[in-house]
Amino acid sequence: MSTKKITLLSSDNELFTVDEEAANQSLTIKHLIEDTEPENGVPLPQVHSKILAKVTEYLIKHANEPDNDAAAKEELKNWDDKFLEKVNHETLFDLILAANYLDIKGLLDLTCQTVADLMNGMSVVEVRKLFNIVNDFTPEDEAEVRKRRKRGTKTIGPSNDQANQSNH
Amino acid sequence: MKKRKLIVRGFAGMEERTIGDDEIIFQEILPRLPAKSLCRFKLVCKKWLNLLTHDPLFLAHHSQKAPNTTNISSFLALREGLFFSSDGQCSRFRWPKEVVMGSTNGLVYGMQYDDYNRFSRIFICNPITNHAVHVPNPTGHMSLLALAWDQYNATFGFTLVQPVFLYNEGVYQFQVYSSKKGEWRVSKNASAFRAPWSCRYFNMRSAVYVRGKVYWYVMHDILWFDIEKDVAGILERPYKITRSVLDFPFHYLMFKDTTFSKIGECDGKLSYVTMTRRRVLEIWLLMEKNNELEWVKKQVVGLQEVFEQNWEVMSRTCKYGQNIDKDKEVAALWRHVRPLPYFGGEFILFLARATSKVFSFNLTTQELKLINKNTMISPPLYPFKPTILPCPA
Repeated sequence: MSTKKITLLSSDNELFTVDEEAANQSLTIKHLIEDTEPENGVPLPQVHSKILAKVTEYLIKHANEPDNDAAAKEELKNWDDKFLEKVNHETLFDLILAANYLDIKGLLDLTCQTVADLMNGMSVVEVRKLFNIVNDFTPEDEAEVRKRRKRGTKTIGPSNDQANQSNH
Repeated sequence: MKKRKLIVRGFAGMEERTIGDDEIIFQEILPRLPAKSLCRFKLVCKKWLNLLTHDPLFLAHHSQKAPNTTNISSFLALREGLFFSSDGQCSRFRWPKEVVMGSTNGLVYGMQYDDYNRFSRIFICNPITNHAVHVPNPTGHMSLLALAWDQYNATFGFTLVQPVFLYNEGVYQFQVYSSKKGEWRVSKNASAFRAPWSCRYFNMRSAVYVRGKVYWYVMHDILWFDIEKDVAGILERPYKITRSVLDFPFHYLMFKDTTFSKIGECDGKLSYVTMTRRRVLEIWLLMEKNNELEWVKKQVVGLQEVFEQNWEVMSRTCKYGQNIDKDKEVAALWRHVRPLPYFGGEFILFLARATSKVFSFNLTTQELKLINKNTMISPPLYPFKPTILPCPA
């Protein structure tokens, strides 16, 4: 059985070849092929070759997803974990943006879940650093938010006056 | 102009990019975080604070995508201030000393006393965001108070239902408080008949809200109230006592045969879990067929074999010591092991009362696991789905 090969062209003009079946997981590529039928490679000007290499790796592995085979699914899951194990944060974000742009649902889910798991154990300061967010709270604002979050007799437990007023 | 922006956000310039203010972080990443972490991240910046507290789109998005929404049973043990779930999570909570009556979809409700120990009003609170609302109290005693609130339909407000038993007429009446009207009223149509003697024994804190209906497990049967239709009734429980009532003394029937049952919500249906004296665990679901409600048996598990196979784990529930007679202990296990409400999925939890341990039992692989190794968990336990939605006002 011969399958059609598809060439992808990254932003720095590197070529990647994948099977059509693998490429069709990306809805963007699928539509690009259907609409324009490009001859020498599908141009993806938003994706750098470094990222596209990763993406194609994922696409090839996930080309034939097993339906009922539990062992194969388990193996694929382990592969997914390994796939993102050594990736640094910047590449991970690039992968998310690329997955979003290329419309690959599986990859988007995988990468976003990885970031979410990462964030779960982080402090606020670490999260700011991770996303390059500048803290725009004044110390008073911050204290206010903290106070509202902290549970105590003030927020839930009413002072006696308030309770009596609401009853009458 | 537009073209330049594209380049900055894309990958042409490898240095100058950040995902920080990209929409994708709000659409895809943040909704995947558990509610407790999200609440912490309100402090990241003003934009996040605004989004995580007020943005209705994001809040709705989160309640659908968030972890712990499907097929994981999670409970709140308020006495210990613990939150735990069947996938092995266990985290701490701080809780003031209010009297909690129950919880519905992530909101906890109960009564509040003033300094003179007089009951002052009802509170509804989201323990994660620490947002609370207050409701004046109805007349009558409050042991069966129930809250109806839907996480996915949060704009509709909440309803409180309080059944009152009129001994003279042998009828349950329902007091209803709707957050839209802001006052208590007595439901005119809804009433449920019941023999007065059976009414004195009910399980407090047993109210369960499932898709527009509130259910209470009251001694032998299940009392229900439909909020929209304003109708009430009594449902027979699926597991019946086969022996004749006259064979045993009255109190024996009352207490020996029915205490190990729990009702809960499972995928929008009512679930009924019971552990019989013959050490058999039965799970039933209330299905709707041709507008008629019907109990369907979902699973039956023989607990004797399960306990014997998982003796290593179960031995923690028994008395500690060197010379434990295994057969004797296994035979006696049912005495202090209680099932917790079933929420769907493949896990059901057991509580061992004697040692305050909770086990998760996998219904497909028949495997028992201990959830709390170092901490104690004791009843009452409240089914709880964490949410960052504020309480409806």
